[in-house]
Amino acid sequence: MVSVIQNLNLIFKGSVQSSAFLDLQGQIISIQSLSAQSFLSPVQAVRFALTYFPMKSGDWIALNDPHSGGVTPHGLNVMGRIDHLIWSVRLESSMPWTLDEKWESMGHKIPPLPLKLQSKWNPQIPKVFLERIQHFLNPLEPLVEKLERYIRWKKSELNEESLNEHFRLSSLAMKSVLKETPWTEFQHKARSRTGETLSAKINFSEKGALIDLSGTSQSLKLEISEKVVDSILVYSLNKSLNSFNLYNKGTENLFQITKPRQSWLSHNEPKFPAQSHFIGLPFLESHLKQMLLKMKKPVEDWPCSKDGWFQIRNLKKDKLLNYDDFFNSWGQSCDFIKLVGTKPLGFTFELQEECELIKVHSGVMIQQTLTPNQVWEISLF
Amino acid sequence: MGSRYMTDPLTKSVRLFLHRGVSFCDATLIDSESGKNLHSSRWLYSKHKFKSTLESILKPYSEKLQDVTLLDEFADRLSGLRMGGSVAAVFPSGLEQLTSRYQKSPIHSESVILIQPLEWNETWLNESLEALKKHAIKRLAWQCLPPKFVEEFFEAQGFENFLISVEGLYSILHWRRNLLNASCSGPVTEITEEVQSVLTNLQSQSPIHWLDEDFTLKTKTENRYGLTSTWTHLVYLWANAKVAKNSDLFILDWDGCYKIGAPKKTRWTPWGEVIAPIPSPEITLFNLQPTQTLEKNQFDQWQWIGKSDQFEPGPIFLGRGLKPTLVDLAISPELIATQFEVKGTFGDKLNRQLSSQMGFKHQEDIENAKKTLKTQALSLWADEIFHLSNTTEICLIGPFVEEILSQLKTAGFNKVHTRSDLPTLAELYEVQKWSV
Repeated sequence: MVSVIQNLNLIFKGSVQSSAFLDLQGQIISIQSLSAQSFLSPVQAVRFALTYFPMKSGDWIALNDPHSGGVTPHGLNVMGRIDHLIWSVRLESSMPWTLDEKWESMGHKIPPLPLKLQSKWNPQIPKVFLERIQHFLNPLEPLVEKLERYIRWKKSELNEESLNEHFRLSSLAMKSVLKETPWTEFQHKARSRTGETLSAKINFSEKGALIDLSGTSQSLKLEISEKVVDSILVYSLNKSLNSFNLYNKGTENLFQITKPRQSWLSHNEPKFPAQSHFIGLPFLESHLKQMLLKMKKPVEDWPCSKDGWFQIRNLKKDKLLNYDDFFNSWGQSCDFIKLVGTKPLGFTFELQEECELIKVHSGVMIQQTLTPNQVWEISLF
Repeated sequence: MGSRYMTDPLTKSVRLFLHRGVSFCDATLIDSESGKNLHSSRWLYSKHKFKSTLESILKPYSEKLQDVTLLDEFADRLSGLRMGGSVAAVFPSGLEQLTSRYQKSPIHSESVILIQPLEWNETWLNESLEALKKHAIKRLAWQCLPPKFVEEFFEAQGFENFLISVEGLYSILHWRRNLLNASCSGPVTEITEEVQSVLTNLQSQSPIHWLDEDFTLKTKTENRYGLTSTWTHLVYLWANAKVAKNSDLFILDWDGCYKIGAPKKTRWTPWGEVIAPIPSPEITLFNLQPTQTLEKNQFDQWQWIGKSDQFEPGPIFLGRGLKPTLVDLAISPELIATQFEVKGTFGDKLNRQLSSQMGFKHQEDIENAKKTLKTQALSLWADEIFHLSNTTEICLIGPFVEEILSQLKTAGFNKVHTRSDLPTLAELYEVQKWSV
């Protein structure tokens, strides 16, 4: 039974950024994500959409407004209902970003919009719009079809009674995981290269994990949406506790987050989306990681430094910038590089002096001389 | 195991095909002219000695033996047993740390990593030699280009050199292949020698070849592109020609359960993906393997998530195993008996081990647990097939098909093709013939 609930997400795994299954009240049944920032996005999106639309079986709703749970307007959240289950996914576009100060330039902001009504395309949606988001929907349709087959097949194991039993067991298991956590309280302070400070305190007890971000400074250059911050916090905690399988309706209330109202971590409409996204998020993620690593729980494959590799060598100064430095201590070890712009999984930069670049592209190592006063670009994949 | 019947006097010459699987060996003798299957047998390494079994099979045909074709799956086994470590790698300076990022696998050369010096001199050679000898290294994977005298120096010291091609310099894909070839070289030589000694015993002069990825015969597999062998590719071609075209193929065998998917340009190795010379089918192993053991999950329930030790020591029914495995509980004794000689005391031992491992005192509890675990195993297997399938028409092949089929009835597949035994090497040969 447990495995059927956990396996629901297998249908989407690898094809979407994150996915979740919820009941009709918007309570989490199971959840999975490739990245910390979009971990809770499918859940937040469903909860927001449910306040506007009562979902019927066969309905599909799309949105991507950061305010309603979409991480950025660059991707798309799609959700739908099959019988008594709601599925929800976050899809990311592979189109490049430009370093721009407005959300609008990243893509269209889409408020909750019913795409399908009882399995039929909503006739009120303009064709042009559907065509624009077709590249998101095309790969999704066969997956949802497969999901329908799976839910029909495993109907008896996905009834209310077995779900409630799953929540009860998860709650017991999560409490015992928290009880075994060797430390009770952590504290961590850090300053970003743009001047913002992060102050985090985590308190573990059998009753739950309390995360307190009081003391975090106001925004100077970085602003991250509140929902994304929640996502990163909950993801990081689950990662360090190895408890993704246990995170659901039964355990959600064991994680409590306190954020100061006026800080760079609680904006609904961040002013500098790209910068915040590529400097602020890795900064937050890596510091939470550093903090939680002290718990001595096995932590592998952290999403912010998983793939791709490059090295920029300043031969004159005998200094290096590694891929890891970029994500872990941005601003501290790379005074010879000036960031100019960002794109998904990459960035553009300028150099003061001639440097050598070694990078891995499609498995082939490329060695290249980079001249100063010119804009260079690195894609990590 | 051996063949006791007389050979057909009309058969002029025979070919032997040997498939060295992970725990089993398949041998097939065919008539070279007609391609007719003369003899097929399969044995478990831990139960029957390889050399004597092969010798008894070959004996009646020894004078007519034309050649031997070897296919293997042993590299998978090496990966599981964490062997194959007698290889050192020499990297260009500054790039050695790349390997630790990309080499997360159990069979790699991290025991000794040498760094290309600025100048190839005596000191470097002697220091390196000392380090290599200390770790009993036999093979060197050169990921940079050493001068001829360095190569010769190590060769004279008894090392086997594996050189990267000039166009492969700074290419991780080539590095991976180089490491793979170096790591597989030892077992390849050993297996070839083992078969050679059987032929020598039978006074046969027949040549031994390895079937390479491109279906040509080579004296050595020096061009490995992945762990799984040509065998899976042959099965893929056979299933497409004889069973169903372009549908996902699932092998449910004692030796392992996996999916043979559509051909891909890259193949998986313990060091990451490499580009294959010809697209070969993608192999995805099931999480649940026949010799899987039990472990408690996060919910404190017993589940099939323990280690899978293959057939060494193997399931309880074979006599030496102590941990209840999936085949002990989920596969019917009748089916087990078709492949193995089952010990009479098997049932008692299984109950004893279950009760001591899971802490049951009453017979009734044990029986209930057995039923639950069996249902769980079969339903997990069916689930894996469902999740791994990309087509709504699928082929299930292997001895466990019947047991799993009932679970898949309502899974909504348009068509499920089944066959309860694996194709013999003679059948595979019929579809894709190879010759010297």
